[in-house]
Amino acid sequence: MKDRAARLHPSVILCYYLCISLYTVFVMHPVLQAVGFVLAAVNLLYFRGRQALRTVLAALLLAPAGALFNMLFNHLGISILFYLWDNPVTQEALLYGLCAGLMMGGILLWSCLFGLFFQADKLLFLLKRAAPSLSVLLCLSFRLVPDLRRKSRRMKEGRLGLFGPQQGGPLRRFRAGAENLSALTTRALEDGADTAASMTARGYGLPGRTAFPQYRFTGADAAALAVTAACLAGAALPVALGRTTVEFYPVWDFTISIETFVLFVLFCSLPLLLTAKEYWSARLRGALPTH
Amino acid sequence: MELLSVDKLSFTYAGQDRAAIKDLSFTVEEGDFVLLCGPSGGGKSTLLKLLKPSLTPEGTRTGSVRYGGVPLDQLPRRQEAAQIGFVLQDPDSQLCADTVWQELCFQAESLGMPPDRMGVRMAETADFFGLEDKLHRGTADLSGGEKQLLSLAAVMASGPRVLLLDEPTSQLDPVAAGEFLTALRRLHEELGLTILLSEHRLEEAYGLCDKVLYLKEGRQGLYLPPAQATAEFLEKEPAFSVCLPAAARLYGALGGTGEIPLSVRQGRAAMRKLWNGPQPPVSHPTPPEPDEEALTCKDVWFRYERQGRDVLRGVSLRLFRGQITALLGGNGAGKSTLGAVLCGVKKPYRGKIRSKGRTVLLPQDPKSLFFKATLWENLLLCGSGEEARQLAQQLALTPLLDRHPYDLSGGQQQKAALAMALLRRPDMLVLDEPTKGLDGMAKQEFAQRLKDLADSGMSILLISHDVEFCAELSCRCLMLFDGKIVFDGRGAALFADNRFYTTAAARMLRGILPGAVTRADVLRAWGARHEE
Repeated sequence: MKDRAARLHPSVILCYYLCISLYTVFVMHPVLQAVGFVLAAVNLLYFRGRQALRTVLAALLLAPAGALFNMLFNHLGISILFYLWDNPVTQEALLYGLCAGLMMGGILLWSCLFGLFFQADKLLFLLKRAAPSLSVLLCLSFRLVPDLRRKSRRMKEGRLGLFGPQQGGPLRRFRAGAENLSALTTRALEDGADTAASMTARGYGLPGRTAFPQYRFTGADAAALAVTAACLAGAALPVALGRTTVEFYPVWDFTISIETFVLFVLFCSLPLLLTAKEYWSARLRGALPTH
Repeated sequence: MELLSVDKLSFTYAGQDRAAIKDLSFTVEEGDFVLLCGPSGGGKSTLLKLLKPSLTPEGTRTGSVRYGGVPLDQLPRRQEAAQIGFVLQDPDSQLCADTVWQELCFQAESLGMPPDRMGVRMAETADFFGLEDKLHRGTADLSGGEKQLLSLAAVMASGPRVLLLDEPTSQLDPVAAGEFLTALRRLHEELGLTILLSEHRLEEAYGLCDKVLYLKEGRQGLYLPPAQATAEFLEKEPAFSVCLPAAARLYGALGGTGEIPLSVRQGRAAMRKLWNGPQPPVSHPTPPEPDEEALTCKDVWFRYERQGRDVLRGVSLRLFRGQITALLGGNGAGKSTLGAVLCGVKKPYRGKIRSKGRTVLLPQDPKSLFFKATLWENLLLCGSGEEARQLAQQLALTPLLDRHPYDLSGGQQQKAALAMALLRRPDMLVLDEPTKGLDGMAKQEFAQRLKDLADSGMSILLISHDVEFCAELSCRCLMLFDGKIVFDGRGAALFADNRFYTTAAARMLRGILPGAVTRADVLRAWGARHEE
């Protein structure tokens, strides 16, 4: 049930991610950034579990890091806290830094969440229509990386079985590593020729490539897309109209309208709300799977 | 109806002066199953690639090939891709997708099949090949046999009329090879598919085919149904007849007249008639027991993952100098792992291994030993120039010293890897599946080489699925099952007693000539009987 969001059409997932990322980047409002960060953290913790705690804490560290960085290099602002090597360190710079750090942390968390729902398969599916050759290339790369690792391990084991444990200092080990790398490249090229032959034999390169209809765009997907668009509009419009403003320099000041706040909270909670909706409608129907 | 017709076909690879194929002429009717056989380097692979335009190598071609009456080079590319399927030898490198279902629909997508038809096509292909429950698995997680079946399914998904297979089972173990050939048989019988199969393992494939096409040094030797072809082989090509099914060879050697049996079942019937009643059991001489130990292994336990299952559970064994020991067992029994552990490549978490002298491991994939660009440089990595030259001469590798190791054939690569291992002057040599992809004649040569090495005092551990090969070596056998050694003794005793895991000769003569394991045993008993 938790993967309801993952079962959306890939274009919807991608759209949501792009919308929320763009909004986070462009609307540099302290309250919105803070709320956005918290909700992103809640989403990640819910969908990924306790493992996500590390990521959240790491993202949280970006805020003071940003503050520190900004304080050292940006000297605009009125309220000076202290002087550092003849440069004023201001409160406004601190606040902007914190805000910018929170933004980066937020983007990090949204990206992790995106990675949970949008796997390699889905990227390939979206690309298959748009750029068929790119999608095949990506497909091959996904196969290649673990494949090369296995081949490299076999070469290391081959070397170990033939020569015994590596003798000699770092120079010898470096030489052995370089030899392995060169041999691995040759091997990869050789096997790649075979793969190319197999693909050509099956008609790769002919014009008019189609894609297996793995994901169908359903009504639910259309509805999700519509809700996303509405939330984005609702949260962005007041900002554009000037009902939610923020200013950092020379004085720190911001306003926020209630619509912006509510719609933004709604926007960030969409994955949770979607999952909750499915859970409750299944439960009310008595159709919840037993585990 | 003639599907493929080849007329005076000759082909020379670009940059070479000797023709790979000379004057081949034959026709393949629709629904025929043609078995392509012959010594290595005879042109089988080249012929198959010439029948598939997108895989045809660079070179000069004379003569004609017609597909359904149309010259092959005039066939539109789309039709050629859809109607002529090709399965290559290496299970790993011919797969191009991440997951099983993506591999299945690769061809349909490439050919522009309408998306609403793809679902049904995939469904029926997956069903025929039993892939329904494996659809979402990664291709990397499949075994070798499963990968080859997947490649076959992927090629069949678009419904070709001709299937060309270039030694598809050479990298597979006997069980997986059997399953693959069974799938081919089903395709042939249930769909009437036209199949051209190039094989070394003739024991099973021989009984499936309608015609045998024999190529030797690029020339057409014969093109006959298997029963007649066997008679010709036994008469005119004794060197090649080593590769024939055991039933046919034995029948020929015992001077049988009449219909030559091709399978074990037919062989049993024929043998009963020839021997006329049960015979006294065959005795096997027991060779002297060697005493000098080369390696002791005591209570070794090994697993790959900390929370995984144990692959080796308390294995204890002793290996001796001057002795060839075969390590047998089913797929996944842990033979390769045990070999790696004995050489120190992998470390057991419990137990001790003590070896006197140097141990060298020859891995399953000889390519993983080639670190340099020419064979000569690879040999120099392992020993001095003088020794390398001598060894290359012994193994007939001297003309190949300048070539890149990947340009050599499978058998030549095997020899090259062996040369590298021998140059290290090991006291114990562990060989992991060295007979994979070798034809019958190359195996005989290899067996002799191993015997020579053992005679010179080296201890040899042979990890193999090849029951026939191990029986011919008549060596000590260890059988690994469920992580433990369940048998340690003479191979003859093991094979004479087993029902499934034994040689074709033993299966044929069970109850007729007890204790017979190899062809030599049978011939000896026959000779002894006819002296009375």
